Amino acid sequence: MFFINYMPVILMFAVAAGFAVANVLLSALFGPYRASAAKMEPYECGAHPVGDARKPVVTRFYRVAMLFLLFDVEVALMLPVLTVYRDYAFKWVAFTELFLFMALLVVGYVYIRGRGGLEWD
Amino acid sequence: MSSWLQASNWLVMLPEMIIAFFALIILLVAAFTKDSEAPYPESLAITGLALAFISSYYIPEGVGYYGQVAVDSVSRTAFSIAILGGMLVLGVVPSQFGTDTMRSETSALVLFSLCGVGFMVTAQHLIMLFLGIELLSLPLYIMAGMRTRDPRSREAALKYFIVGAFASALMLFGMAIYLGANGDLLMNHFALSFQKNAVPPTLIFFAGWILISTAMLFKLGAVPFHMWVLDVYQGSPSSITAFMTFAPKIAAFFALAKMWPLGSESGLSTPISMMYLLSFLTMTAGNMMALMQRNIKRMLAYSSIAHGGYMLMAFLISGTEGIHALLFYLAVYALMNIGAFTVITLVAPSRDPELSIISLSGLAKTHTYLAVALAICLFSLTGLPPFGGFMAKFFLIKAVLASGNVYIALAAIFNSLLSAYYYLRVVLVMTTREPLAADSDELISPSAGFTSIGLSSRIALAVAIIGVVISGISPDFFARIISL
Amino acid sequence: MNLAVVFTFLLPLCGALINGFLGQWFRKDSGTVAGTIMFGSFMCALIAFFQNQASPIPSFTLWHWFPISDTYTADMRILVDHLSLTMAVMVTGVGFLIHVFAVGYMDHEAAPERFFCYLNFFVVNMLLLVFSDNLVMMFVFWEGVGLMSYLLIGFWYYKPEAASAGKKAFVMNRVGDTGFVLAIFWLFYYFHTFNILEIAGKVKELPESVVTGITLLLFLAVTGKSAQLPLFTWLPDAMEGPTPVSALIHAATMVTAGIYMVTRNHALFNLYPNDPAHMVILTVGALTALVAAAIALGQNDIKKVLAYSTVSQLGFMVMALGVGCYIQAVFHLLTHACFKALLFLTAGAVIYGMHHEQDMTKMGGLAKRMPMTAACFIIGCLALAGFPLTAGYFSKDAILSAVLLKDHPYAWAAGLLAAVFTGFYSTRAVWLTFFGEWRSSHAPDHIHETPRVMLMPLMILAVLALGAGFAGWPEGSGMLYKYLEVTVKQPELKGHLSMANWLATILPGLIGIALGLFFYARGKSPAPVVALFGPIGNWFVQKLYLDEIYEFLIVEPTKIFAQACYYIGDKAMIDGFLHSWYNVCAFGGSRMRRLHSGHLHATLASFLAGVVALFAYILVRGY
Repeated sequence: MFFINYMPVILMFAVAAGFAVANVLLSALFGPYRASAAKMEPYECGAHPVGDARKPVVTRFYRVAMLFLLFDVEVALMLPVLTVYRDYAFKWVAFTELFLFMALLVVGYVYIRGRGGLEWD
Repeated sequence: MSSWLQASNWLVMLPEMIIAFFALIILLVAAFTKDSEAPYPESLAITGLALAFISSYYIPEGVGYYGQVAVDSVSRTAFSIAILGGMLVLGVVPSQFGTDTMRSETSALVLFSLCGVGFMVTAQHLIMLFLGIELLSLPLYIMAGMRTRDPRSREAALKYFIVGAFASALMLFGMAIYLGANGDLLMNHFALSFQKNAVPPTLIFFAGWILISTAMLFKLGAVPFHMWVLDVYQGSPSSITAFMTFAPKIAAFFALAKMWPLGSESGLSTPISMMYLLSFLTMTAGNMMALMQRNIKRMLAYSSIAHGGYMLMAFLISGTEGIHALLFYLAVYALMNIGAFTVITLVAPSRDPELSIISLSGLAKTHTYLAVALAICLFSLTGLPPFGGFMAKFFLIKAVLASGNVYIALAAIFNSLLSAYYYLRVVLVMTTREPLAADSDELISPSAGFTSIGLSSRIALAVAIIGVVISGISPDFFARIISL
Repeated sequence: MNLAVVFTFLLPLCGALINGFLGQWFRKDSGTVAGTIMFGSFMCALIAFFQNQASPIPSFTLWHWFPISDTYTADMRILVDHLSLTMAVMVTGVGFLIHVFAVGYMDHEAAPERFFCYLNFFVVNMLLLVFSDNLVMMFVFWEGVGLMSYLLIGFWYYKPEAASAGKKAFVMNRVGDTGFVLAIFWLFYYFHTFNILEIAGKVKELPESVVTGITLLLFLAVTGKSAQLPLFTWLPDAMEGPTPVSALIHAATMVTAGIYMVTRNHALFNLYPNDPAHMVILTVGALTALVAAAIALGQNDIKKVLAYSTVSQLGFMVMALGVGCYIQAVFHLLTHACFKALLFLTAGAVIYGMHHEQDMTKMGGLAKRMPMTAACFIIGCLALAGFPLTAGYFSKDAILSAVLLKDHPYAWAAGLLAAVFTGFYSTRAVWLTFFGEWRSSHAPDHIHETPRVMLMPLMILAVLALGAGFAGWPEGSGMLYKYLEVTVKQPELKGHLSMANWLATILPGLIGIALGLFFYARGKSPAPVVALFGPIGNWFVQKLYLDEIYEFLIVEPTKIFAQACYYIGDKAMIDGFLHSWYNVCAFGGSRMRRLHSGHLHATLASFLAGVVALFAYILVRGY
């Protein structure tokens, strides 16, 4: 059968979908259900869904979220480098370059702290 | 260790590294100081650029960084032009932003952007080119929105970002197709495919080629990929607009030159006729639209589109002559635009914020020197001797004529004729109209405007104007300065 | 590089820049700065002159301007030879003296730095015109001196007469410049070079008709710049400018640029000495000399007399060009520069002393109050009239005898008559100004001798006006001839004048002076010219009705023609073309403007449409 060759992929999809569906279902089935006004809101991030849409939005949350995403993705980028370059002739180059990359991230982090990017008020 | 140092030949990227290093230093300094007590971040940035400029004297020509980049005399000159222009723009930035807002960030962003220019003009690999284009563009998106209180500035930033992202997406799509057609992303497949007597490229290759070229044409504002230019140029702070007029153009032109067959050297007729059309459309549409403008920044935006159209003619010329004419044109063009936008930056506070052309009435009486500077830039943009704009057009049109493309040269000449109409109208308004009542009480003596301007922008303006004049009087000398 | 030569024009350039950009901070001293710099420039010119005596000096390139064809580049290239060095010494020397005079003359001016900036810049342009190695460069600086002349005539731009006089000079010169440009193009068509010496080397290849055409076109430029018939009327109007300007630009240097240009291109003019072009040049020169001298008889404004006299003297020089005697022309150019600068400056001193009164009928008896000035003026007038052994005598005599030796008796006779007139109006000017009785309604008490700073240049020029003529003596083999012959190759004059003819060339000046004395020195109040000459005198006063004749013959028809041109050519064709071109473009623009709404979707749609169009293009057209 043709699909046999792709069994691992199909399995991965199945497991991923199953994991997501199972989590939602399990928490719905077994979780304690204590409703409160805040919890009934559509957006759990705190944005109020009813009222005039054109009003000032507090961007602090988004700023921090964006910065988090930034560092998150950058760090995630290191994993493939490590796996790919393990058998590479110039692996020390890759290693050095990752350090350089980290240094750049640190400069960015220092800049963000210095400019008050992570302060809530 | 030394073997990989040699193999990587990272020295060819030394100017970019210096620039990036200084940008980081500026950010670190900014992290520990307040905006109002910032120790002139521009001077730090200009120092960095000067070091990068000097270092580009000494770096060897050749391929570097595992074949990702290659430095030759053309790319080096193009990058030097961008660096020198960036230095001038950094001189104007303080007058634009005053002492309170984001000057460190602006300086650092200009440096990062120039780094992107460097990668783009030297790139030998499409990934490198893509990195360059993003490194060039992202700071520009931010700088376009630097005047956060001005809705136009915010609009400019957002539009630029969205359209730029669209172009990047198309380019990535094109790169994917290119990878499929060639098996890797090295840019020399372009040159190999367009060689005379080469195996004709496949259609799939052409699909990738068009998509990638489109991204470059977008960057240099060729019709019909030009519409972002207007709102972005108008909304951005004027000194940043000056930077936008030349830095992306330099990068895009020389990236395009690596992926487009020059003149008839490929033996394929389609790329030539395509460039013929693009060039004609760009210069004509730019000029026609510029005629209708009442706002000086929009007018200059259309004019920059039209100039892009003239410069596209360089791709109709085989051999190096077209590229050299293009380099000269870009250098002069950068100076003229820096001059014009600097004057706009400096007079803007005392005029109406929308900067209609009429608001420049009587500038010759109130700010004599600035009016003269602007007039020189406009004469030069029109292409009148003895200014650089004439020489730039002269060299380019001469080369185009020599390559046998008579009609497009004629079109360029007629377009220049038409452009005189809207450029010289500004001069007319400056000299013959009385100053508007609102301005006349605050600006009394001819030098009044001069004393209130920061020293650095004064120097930058003077250098730009002297450059425009020198390039017209002694193009040889000028070419020697910019081409190291 | 020849440093002395380079500094000769670099110094005034620096002076112009210093005065132009920084002058507002040292207004009072701007004249001193400009004068000092001119002295340096003069010294450099002298050094260059003596350094480069012997051998031919290679010309050198200042910088490449732009490539015109694959084989020829328009360069800023300096040609140093005996002719250009002579001219440079004259320009800087006279220029220096006039700068010194101007320091005194302009001392009441509010913004003298503007004046001295222009004046220095004029000298730069004039020097580079003289040193030009090719015709393009010569044309650039030919226009440059024209521009500076325009700016300086209109220096008092708030006076409407000055502004319109500047405009007139500019426009009339354009007529001549058209000829220059066409001649340059024509030469380039044949030789593919602008280099004057190269053209001179190849010029024999040209057929006679072409040479005639080119020389006539060049001569058209001369009639404009050197104020010959019919384009001379701008020069008298140019007297609206400050008097040092009249002395420097409109007597000594710029107006002689035409003479210099012809001399510089003498190879071209030498080729066919009997072609119609030479006849035209000779006739125009003779007529101009005569007509302008006649008009000068009737003028009452002291500067106008001198202006017409300049036109007349330029006519003499053009006569010499017409018979191919370039050295004689240059000789007269040099002596004329000395004595005419002297005359203008003394006139300036008188005007300065009289608080800007220029009408000679309101002067009189000034010799008692300003004796030195009067002496200088009389010396200048003697030289102008050609009194034996003054500078003007030698040079004018050289021209007249050359004309006769070349067998042009009518032109010679016209010259003689012009010389009589010259003697007469010179005497008249001297007498009306300095002798007789005070005729103005104001009391003459405030009039006193000229300040020393203005007197010094006058005295130096007076010495030159007396002695400069010996440079060209004996005729045909004097110092100047020997020196210039190295550069200027002209056919030798054959034969000698008979004693009677020789006398006939000296006498007219003396006759004129005698007549002038006879009419003016007798009575206490001078008779008006009309009374002396009857109805003819009225002609002189009315400038031979030339303005009216021009009005009738040229201006009116030109106006009708211009109206026709305006409506048919300009309105219908040029404007019609331009406006319809504009309208087409504007219409297209307004249509396109709808597309450029700034809406993001429109932007992206046009982007995508562009990509699709490029795809479609390749698919349809193939590759």
